[in-house]
Amino acid sequence: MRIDPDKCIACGNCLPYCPMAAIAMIGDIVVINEDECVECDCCFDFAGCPTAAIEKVDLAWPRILRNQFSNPVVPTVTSMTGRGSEEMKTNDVTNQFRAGFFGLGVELGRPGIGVRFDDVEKVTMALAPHINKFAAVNPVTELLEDRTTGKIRAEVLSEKVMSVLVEIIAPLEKLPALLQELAALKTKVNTVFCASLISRLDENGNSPVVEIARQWGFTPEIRTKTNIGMGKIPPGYRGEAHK
Amino acid sequence: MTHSLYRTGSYDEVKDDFVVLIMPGKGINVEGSAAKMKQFLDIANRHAPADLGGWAIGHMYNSTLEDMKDKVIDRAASCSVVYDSKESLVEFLKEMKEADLGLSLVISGVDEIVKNDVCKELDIKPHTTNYSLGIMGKTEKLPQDERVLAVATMCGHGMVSYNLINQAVEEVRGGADPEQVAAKLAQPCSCAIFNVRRAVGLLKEMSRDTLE
Repeated sequence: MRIDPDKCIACGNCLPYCPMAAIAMIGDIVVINEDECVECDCCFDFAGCPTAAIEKVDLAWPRILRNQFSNPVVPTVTSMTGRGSEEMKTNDVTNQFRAGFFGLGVELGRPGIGVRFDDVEKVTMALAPHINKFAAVNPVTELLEDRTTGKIRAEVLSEKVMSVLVEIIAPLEKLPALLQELAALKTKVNTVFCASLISRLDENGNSPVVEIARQWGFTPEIRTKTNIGMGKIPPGYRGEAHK
Repeated sequence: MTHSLYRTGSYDEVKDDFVVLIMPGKGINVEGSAAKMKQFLDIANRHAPADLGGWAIGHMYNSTLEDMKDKVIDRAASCSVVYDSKESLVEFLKEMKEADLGLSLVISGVDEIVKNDVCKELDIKPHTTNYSLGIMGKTEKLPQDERVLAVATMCGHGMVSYNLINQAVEEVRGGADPEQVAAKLAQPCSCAIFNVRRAVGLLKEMSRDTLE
């Protein structure tokens, strides 16, 4: 994103729209801090610049990742929008998270702070030794140079984006070790992150992950997100997914 | 929509804040999903939504129901509705059960209300839950006023900036209509999960504080 200085009248309307506070008035000129800009398009799409001075620029690799990980309507490499993953939203038809396993989602940079991929790598490398796999349909997984170590491609490490969702799936017995890694990461990353546990529910609507989390010092929030099982697999479907 | 999981606020502040999302599974039941999501929008619209819409189709604060439906395509990924009462959610779900669309439906809200009240009342068996462990790390970088955070986290993708919320508070303090100001805040939330009615209450409260 850039601001055309010949068109800008320095009204300042665009300044509050930037989630990263990367737009500033310097003297009577409005400028975008390119290093802090995550290319979310908020200023372009919503600020209503009276002189159309805000301009999108063609983004080359790896800067284009900023746009894909920051504007939720821009498809990621998974061809999905948002943060590029279905995670548990369709688990009633994908069965990605099965009984005896759990999912851990770590979303870095949110709410409203942003994250660089060198911080993301701290998380992927901390989790990798303990897990079966990183989620397959996830744009962060696509950026891993080595899925066994969690190392991320070097050329993207300095890119800043709005937020990044790291997702893993592991057997239930791995949960305590992963929670310990999570606790240690709180002081290792230079941003905020949200974490969540995904679990298939038993016959009574309960999950073992809640008690395990409590045992290891984490208190699940009062709000949850629940797939209520209304999805159906079409007759004749021949894929791997099943209930 | 993981993003609806991290809405902040006390029990009393979030007990009437429900986000519902409908989504086909990629490669499984995407074909024909557009017609079903249009049906979802019709049903959702009948129960006083606080927001309604979805990626690439707009939302009720920048579009009409018919225009949104016209834009729904199979690869639309998802549609969402927000309710600010349990009663609306229950009536909506009764219709959804009857419609039996076969797409995945996810409810974000206070766990005990969603499972113990709503699902049990409707004889719905929850399948999978995502439990939030909260916000961690450099939390000192977050706004000190938790109400600003509460407004911002209603757009889970972070498109509603903290500075825009602070400006909105000032506008309300200056006499602007809180409903119009809150609707303006909803514009960047392209997933249509911004609870405008809850935002109105928070903006009014913060604007009163500023006066004091």
